Amino acid sequence: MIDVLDVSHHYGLRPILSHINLKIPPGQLVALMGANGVGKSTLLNIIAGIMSPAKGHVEINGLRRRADEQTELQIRKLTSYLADHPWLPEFMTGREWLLAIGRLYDLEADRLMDHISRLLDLFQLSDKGEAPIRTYSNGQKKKIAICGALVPETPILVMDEPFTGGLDPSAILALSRVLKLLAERNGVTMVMSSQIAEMVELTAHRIAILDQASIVAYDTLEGLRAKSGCNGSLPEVFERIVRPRTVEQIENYFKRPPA
Amino acid sequence: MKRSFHVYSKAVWPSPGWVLLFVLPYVLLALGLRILNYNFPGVPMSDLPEIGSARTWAISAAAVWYAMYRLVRFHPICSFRYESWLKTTPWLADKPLPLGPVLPVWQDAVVLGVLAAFAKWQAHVDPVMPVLAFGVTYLIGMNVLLALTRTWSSCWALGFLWPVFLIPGASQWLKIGMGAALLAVVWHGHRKSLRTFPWRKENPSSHRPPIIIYGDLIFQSGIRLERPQNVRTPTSVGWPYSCLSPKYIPASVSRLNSLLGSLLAGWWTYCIIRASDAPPIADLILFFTIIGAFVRFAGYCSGLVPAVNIGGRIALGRLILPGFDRVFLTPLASIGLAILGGMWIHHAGQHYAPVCAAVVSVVCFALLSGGPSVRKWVLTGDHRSCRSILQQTRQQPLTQV
Repeated sequence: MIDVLDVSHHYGLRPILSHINLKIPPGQLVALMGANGVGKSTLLNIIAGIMSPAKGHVEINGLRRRADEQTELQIRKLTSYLADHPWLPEFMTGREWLLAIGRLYDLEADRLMDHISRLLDLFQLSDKGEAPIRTYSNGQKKKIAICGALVPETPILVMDEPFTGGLDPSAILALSRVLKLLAERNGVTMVMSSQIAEMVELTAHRIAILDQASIVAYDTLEGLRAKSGCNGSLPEVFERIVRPRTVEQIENYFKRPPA
Repeated sequence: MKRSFHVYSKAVWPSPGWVLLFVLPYVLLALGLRILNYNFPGVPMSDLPEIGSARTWAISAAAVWYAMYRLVRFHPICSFRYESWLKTTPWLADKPLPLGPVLPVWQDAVVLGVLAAFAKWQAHVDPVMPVLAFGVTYLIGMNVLLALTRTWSSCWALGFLWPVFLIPGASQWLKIGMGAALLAVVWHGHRKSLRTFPWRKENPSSHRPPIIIYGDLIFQSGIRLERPQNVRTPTSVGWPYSCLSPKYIPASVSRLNSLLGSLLAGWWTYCIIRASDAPPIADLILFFTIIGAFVRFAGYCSGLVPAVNIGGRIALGRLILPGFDRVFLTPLASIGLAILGGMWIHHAGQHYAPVCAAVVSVVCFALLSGGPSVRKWVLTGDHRSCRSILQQTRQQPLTQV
């Protein structure tokens, strides 16, 4: 369970998050959506423990982040984070790197090695497993980073834009199915940001829409449809909630001045 | 047993090639002098002070090299391959080291005796010089090796004993006694360090994540596989994995070590002041405190920046954010203590040396043990983690996804 309690944050004079309250029940996948620069990554960074909010706090399974050293280490053991642009060691091979990540979480060696092989197989990286990460393509780097988030088998998973970064369609599909099954079978609690509405529709139990530093809607897709009064696809629902004037703006754009 | 001891102890002598390296230049120098004396019989070349000085340096260099050779060649910590091999043998600390002893043996006395005799009768310089050069180099080297093998109690003892030699007016017997004490501490420390072999172990409390132990990991799972030789050992698993790791426990200085380190700094200050006729040290203390404060701040904030910048503080109406700003407290307090200490030193009068020592100790203790601890700061501070330049080295470049 993830509890975001009255979190506010500023970048300079600009408020990026204002009194955010968000409760993510166990075993659910929540997708954060919003326009670019609206604060999705900041909120995920705060949940993952990368940064401390200016006000408010985050609780993971009832434990408050940064309350004390023991609690923070306990929370770190429960949480895994896929950053938007992580930095990976160039000279390590993919398999070595995943082993190193697994060892940070004290995973049992046999189980860890087996899990790594399955992950590499899933994301079609078996052939690249023994090659240094610097030889990977952009998409392969993204895949190995995703494997790095999945390998610790933590009950809480925080992901910033997992479907972007050059992933091929089969990897996107595989990841969406894995996330869905992780929630359903293993009860993993997940929060992710994504701009790919199809994947959000396919995987997320609930969707939180951020706009103007606040959460303007937080519900299931059906709930959002009811709230927006739009029975269309998620992009249409999103547009109705966040940018109701989009159609009018498009018309204005193509309106030519009289000759 | 007798025979094996004989062979074992003879191994400390350097190979003829190394001996030639020192003998040959010396012989060339002596031959040159002979030729000059032959051509200019009226000029006593050997009596020139430059020639005497060159001889002293040459013989001392040989003694220094021999001391270093004795440590580097025979101590397992100096050779990764030797240490790795020794780990695989049934060797125990109470048995002799297989490649030869680190502590002095009678063969060392022979080598030093030859050097001293050479100095006295051939080079006509002080025969104590090579013995002294060997002794000082050997003891300093052992001090370093004891630190590398984490035999801290002996390192502390040596640190406190060394500066006694600086105190002017100390009797010859006191200095001999101190030399004997240094030898005793080194001997005891070395025996103690051997008992803690192997030294290069995976340290769970290290801030470095225990990684890339590929072979070990596979060994744990029951399969033995050699780690490829060309695999480098990085110090980080990248960003943000290292900074979010549940094993991210930064190294801190314990309260006891802070106290001992501070007392040691004060004791060295006292001895140096006694040896150098009360130099003006108050400004130096302030200068080094500012550097120390900066180093501490830089160490604490490596890869961590304020979560809220100045603009954010103004917007929030909170100019001071205790969760972050506590990192400034100890450096500022230390600088304040150094300024106050400087004022005290100016009025110290005849108690100049002890007052300076006290100020240095207090400032060092404040810098080393002032809160928050690194661990507490990293895990609970109100900061934002960013990729640190320290995480990227030539051995450990990172690539962005």
